[in-house]
Amino acid sequence: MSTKQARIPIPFCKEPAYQLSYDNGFTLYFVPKRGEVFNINTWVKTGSIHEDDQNNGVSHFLEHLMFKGTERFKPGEFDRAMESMGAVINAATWKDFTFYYITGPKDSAGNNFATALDMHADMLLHSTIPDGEVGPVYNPDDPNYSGAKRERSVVIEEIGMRNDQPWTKIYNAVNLMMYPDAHPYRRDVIGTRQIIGTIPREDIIRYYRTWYSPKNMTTIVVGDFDLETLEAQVLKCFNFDDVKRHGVSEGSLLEKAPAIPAPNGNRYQTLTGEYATQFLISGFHGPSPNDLEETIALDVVSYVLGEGRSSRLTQELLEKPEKPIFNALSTGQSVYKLGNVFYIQGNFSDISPEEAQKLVWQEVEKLCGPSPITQDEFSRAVKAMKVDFAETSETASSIAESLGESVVTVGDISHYAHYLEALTHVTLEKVNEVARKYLRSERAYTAVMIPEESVSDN
Amino acid sequence: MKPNATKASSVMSQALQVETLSLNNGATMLFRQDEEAARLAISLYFRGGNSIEPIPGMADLVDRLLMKGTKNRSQEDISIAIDSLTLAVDTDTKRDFSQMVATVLEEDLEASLELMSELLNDSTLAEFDKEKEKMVGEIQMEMDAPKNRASDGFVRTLFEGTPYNVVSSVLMDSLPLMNSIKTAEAHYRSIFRPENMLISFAGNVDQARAVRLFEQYLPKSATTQKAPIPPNHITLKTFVEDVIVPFPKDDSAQAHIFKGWHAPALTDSDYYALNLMNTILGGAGLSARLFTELRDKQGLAYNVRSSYEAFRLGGMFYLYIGTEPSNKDRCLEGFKIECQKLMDTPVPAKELDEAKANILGRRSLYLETVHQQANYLGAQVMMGRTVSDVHEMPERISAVTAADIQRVAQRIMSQPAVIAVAGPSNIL
Repeated sequence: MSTKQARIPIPFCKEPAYQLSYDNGFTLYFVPKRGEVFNINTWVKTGSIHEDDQNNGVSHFLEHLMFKGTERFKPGEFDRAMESMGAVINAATWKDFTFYYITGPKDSAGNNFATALDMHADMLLHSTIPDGEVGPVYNPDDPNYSGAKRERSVVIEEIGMRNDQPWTKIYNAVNLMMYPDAHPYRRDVIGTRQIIGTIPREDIIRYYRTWYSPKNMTTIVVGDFDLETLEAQVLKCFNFDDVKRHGVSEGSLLEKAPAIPAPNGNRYQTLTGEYATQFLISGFHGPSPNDLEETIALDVVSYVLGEGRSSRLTQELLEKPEKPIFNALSTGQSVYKLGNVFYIQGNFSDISPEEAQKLVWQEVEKLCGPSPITQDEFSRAVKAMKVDFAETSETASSIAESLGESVVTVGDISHYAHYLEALTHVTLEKVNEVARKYLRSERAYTAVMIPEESVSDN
Repeated sequence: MKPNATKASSVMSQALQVETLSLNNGATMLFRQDEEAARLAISLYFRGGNSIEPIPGMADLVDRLLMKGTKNRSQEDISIAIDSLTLAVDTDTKRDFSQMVATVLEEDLEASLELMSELLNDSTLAEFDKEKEKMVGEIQMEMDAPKNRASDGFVRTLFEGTPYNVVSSVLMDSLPLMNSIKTAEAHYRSIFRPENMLISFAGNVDQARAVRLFEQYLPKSATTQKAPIPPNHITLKTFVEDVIVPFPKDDSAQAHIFKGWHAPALTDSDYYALNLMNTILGGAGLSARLFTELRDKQGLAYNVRSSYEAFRLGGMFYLYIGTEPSNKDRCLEGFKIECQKLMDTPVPAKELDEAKANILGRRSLYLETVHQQANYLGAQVMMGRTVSDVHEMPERISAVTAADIQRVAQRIMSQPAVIAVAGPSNIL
């Protein structure tokens, strides 16, 4: 049935994954895994990357509305059917992707999996997005609005929840500074209260028909199944011939990032709030995820700088100072299709943000200058990264999610499948070179959250 | 070694098929060999936890100090050793026990046990004052999220006057009282002792080797000091009317509301009925009553749920919602309606059956990895259950009736509640 079949070894998994590609562009990955749990993930290669200032937040809003029923199943039936078998269901939207998952317990007759797959595919291909579930258009800033509140308000509450998270607030401030006006990563994935309150249902449906096409969707199944039966089940459920597109043409994925100019202006922003401590995030543009060697090298840098217990920032700024300075410090690389981002984040109490930034910079500059990463640090990082893959292999859901993230960033599962092999070829010299290339102070974008004066006076 | 195998019942999940072994150092070990697992889970439990500490939160401080220096190694040496072994190890104190849980590759098992043994036997508790100061900063950071403030205030008030209320703000208040490293040392010496310890182990290691290594390394009985005996009951405060605990934060975008009650302990005969009631009301996820009524139909929240947490001597059952501040009263009204419904009307048979299937099915998900399996069983035993109690769960869940749930709903929710709210002062 498939036009192309390949088997790809996955780190720490006993059996290689099957990659099955079909004429219509749809791809299925299947990872055989013994155990009592199965996972079904479908990744749609759209997120805020394909939005604009008018419909910002539509990918995520649509993700909510996909749970609101199909022609076969009324709103709520999917949730009830899945949760009554003990399955965990949810979905997530970010810059490059929207994904939907079911993690469930396998039963001997295979009924749980069959039902889950059927309802999952039906939801992805045939959601009806009923008007009554979307809710009427309204102005969320109007205190006198007394009409019905449905899913629009749920998302507006989610925006409120994120506004009560200081890390999220400064992350958004950094993100906004890092990208030029024309860049799709500039916008916050969840959108704005006004857009969510007022975007017409028709726009949401058009977006759905544009992006939820076989070419833009990949399904991943992990569990204890037989390939032939599984493939037949998946193809029966994911029958794209039945999907009514109503003349809406399939969206073309954005593959090339608008140029990011060298920073020449605002790279520092201060926010204030009613807080007792202070928060800081610095972001740096990193390599393309297609450059696996540089991506891995920067992961090593992150581990040595701020991930392990023995990492530089942890030891020098959290553990060793006689008088504690920072309450938390960490680093990480986020892998995005149009270019990765390296983050340093910290929380501190009794020093100014300028001093905090200076202390962090001293460590970064040491690492990029007189005290480069040592062979011992490098060896520890490499081993830790291998063990991360061992950990991922322990649950069906983490295997599926790791493969999915690879698919939406580089187009297939190669990023995940080849990572450990490529890691053995990355040299210490390369790692230090990558640190010097990306972690430059003149390329850092920083936002801080500090207490309002009235608070700090108390 | 005196193997004392506990026979597994046939309906029980494979993940819970353990043997109970007594080691020659006085420790008990729950052992399970799993040939599929990529890593090993080593979970060590020590009875008592917050319920036997001399000053509230002292056990939490001692946990941290375990990683800060031994007779032979500095904090930095320990950190490098842990990272070199890729030993994912954490220490933590809960209400009824302290724990050191770890996962590691098989090739590093012996070296990891040697290190963990050193931490448990030979810590110097260096950096006593510095860790106290670090805890202050970390708690302040945590309290900068209004939801955490409300949650903290809810638990603190509900369990006031008992050792079960050791939340971050209580810890913060009692840190100044921890001015003697001697008290910390005495606690350290009395807790981490083999006869006070349960080992929960799962992974691809044969039993004889595991027993030999654990007997060799963990831990030695270094002193004659006896482990404190955990209390057999706690005296809960009785509330004569609803207690409102406000936390003003004027730039808060939402009101964060926790409403709840005292609830049965893990070994109480009503545990399973309440577990089901919680699933139906707000624990199942997207299909639970609170979610469909307050989120789907009224658009009042993104996050709304109920939770039941049971411990050795008590428990708590509570509802949470994060909502636009002006919705606060509507949400509290919604809570009331849903709780009243459970007290007044038996749960329909279909809904009860679905909740039972949810609880039974979900077990495979939270017992998927050796780490989850070892931790689950270890914690259950620390909170008063036996391994066979854990195995009986499917039968006990199946036996619960709609009348049981209604009775438990009345038992709990007819009492005055504790309601903690963080949000702008004009709505408090």
